[in-house]
Amino acid sequence: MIALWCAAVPLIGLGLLGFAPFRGRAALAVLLAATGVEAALAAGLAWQHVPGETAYALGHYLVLDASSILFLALISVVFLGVAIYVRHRLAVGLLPGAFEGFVARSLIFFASCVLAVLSNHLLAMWVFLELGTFAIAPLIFYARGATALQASWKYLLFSVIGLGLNLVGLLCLARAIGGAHGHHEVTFFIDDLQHLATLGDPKWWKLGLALMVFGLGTKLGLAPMYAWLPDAYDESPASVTTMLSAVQFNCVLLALFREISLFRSFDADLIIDELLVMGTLSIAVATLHIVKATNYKRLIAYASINHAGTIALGLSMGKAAGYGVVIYVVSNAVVKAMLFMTSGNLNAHYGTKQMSALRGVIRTMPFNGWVFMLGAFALLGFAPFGSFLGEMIMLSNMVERTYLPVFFFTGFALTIILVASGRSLFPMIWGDSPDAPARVPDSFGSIAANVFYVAVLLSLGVYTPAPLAALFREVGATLGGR
Amino acid sequence: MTNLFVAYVATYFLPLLFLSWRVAVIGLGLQGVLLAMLLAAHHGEWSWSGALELASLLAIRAVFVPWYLYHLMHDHDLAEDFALISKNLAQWMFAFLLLVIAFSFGVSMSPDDPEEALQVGTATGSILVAMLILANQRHPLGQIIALLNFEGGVTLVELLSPHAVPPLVGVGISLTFVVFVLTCGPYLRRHAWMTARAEDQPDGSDL
Repeated sequence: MIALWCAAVPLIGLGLLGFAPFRGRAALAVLLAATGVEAALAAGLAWQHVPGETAYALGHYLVLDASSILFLALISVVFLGVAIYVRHRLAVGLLPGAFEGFVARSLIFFASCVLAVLSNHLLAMWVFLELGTFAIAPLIFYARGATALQASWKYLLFSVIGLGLNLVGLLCLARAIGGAHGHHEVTFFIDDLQHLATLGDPKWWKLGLALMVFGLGTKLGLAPMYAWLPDAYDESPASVTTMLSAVQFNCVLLALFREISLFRSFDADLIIDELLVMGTLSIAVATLHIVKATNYKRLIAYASINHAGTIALGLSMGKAAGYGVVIYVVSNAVVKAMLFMTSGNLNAHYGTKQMSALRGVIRTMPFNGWVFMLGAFALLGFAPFGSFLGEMIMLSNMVERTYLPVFFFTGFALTIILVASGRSLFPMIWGDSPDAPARVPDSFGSIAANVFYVAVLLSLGVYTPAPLAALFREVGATLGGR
Repeated sequence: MTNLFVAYVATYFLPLLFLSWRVAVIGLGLQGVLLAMLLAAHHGEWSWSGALELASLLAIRAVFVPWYLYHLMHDHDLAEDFALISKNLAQWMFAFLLLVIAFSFGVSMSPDDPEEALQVGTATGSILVAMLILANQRHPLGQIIALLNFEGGVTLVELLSPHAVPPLVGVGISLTFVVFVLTCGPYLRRHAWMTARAEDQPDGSDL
């Protein structure tokens, strides 16, 4: 029943927006209410989850297991932060007049993401990921110019290709199973697939697996199909960048978790090499771009490619690094949400995204400066944040599994990223400016959600409450197959 | 079935040689008709899900897609010799080579079933030719035609499956395709912006 409510909340919000005359601030109130109720439901589920317990709804189409609960809580909390951020922008008069279209598309996107996370059917999950993509693509150029339109189109092209390849992969899997089971009805229900005796013809399902990983890797911004990500993240409004990087990214990641978990139920050592190659390539590409980045939003976008690469490396380690991967994923979502929303505030005040033009942000905009500084530390993997703990667990697993070349490469790349990012970001935060601008009214409302995110990041690194730690462990354990 | 597959290959290969966007759009419509005929030939027994899929292929791919693209583009002053790939022998030979690779791949995947090998080869060819068009195109219409060829290839792979998807999911997949085509509309209307190199307009509010 609770799964149905979780699925229904954003749809009810959408219905209210569509059929009742909610305009202006009232439309935004609907978005806030829907995301708030969803976040409360998901947080309650995460806190009260009994390890191993799974609930189904709508004839097994919806599932509430550890993975769906964790990701539902994560995307709901981030989306609530986005809604609070947009409300603040409205309050300070930084929104264009008619923004109901923005709110409606955001709700469609949110509903698609929630349904994708709750889906127990691989094709249904694919449909919702695709619908979410079409809902958010036009928001990338909302009230913007030609370069944002081009970035949005690039995002759409790569997404359609990536999700298309993922669908071909799923169909190859169906062909493999259909051939093995005498042309009987083939199921796409995840729990049914995990209980099959065999996946059938290995030629077909291995092709399917390769296409699925490559397709979802494209949506995650993993190299070599990452070209859309820096442009889309940089050109989008800050709230949309947050939705792309911390909400959609995690929905796609859950799809990848589900698919990897399914295949590893049959062979625990599958796709290690592919993930290692995609992961190291992504980290290498991100490092090169970060070294020459001059725009702070683009730098965070390249850091996102680095994060995706690190997660791919963690996934290649299997079940042993599972807990670290999950902590890293949660921290990563929160860090990106913090930094992208703060970068929107900075851009609104300074009118530029060039790092060289900003000096002493912590003095000019103390609230935003502090959040940006803490976010930058977490981005760079400093202790005591959750990203540090997650990275340490993954790196120690690399050593344990004697992937020493990968370990040394990752360590080397992270050091270069630390130096290059520090060189660019630290003067921006603390640097002296000869013509120092006066301190500007920097309201707490602009960072209200970010304060909560800082608390989450610290909690993940220092003390994770027992129910959440159990949930992370359960999700991490599924990464090696059931 | 063999004739249908040969005709399908013609619908995505011949528009590479004809320098007209109208031929490419008509090719997309014909792909919808051929996919429906392949579905009817593949799933002989009548079923609700099969009938629904057949109707959606005809209504959406054979009628709606060409109509919508034509409706969007007929007022635009596109060059008369609109080429999907560069107009030279090397590109055409490369496209032909991709077809050869696609059919060799089909044979390697299904060595004992010539019909399935042909189907896999046709679908792979459609996907590879779509990638070739994407690599050549800067105009959004050409890129949309490439994406629709790609989607056609995916649908051909879907026909490989020995089962029909549940009706609800089938409706979802068809709906997704319609939303995709409709989403392309606003981009196509602003195609002058899409091909612009400089920033034509200042950025708006950082929402």
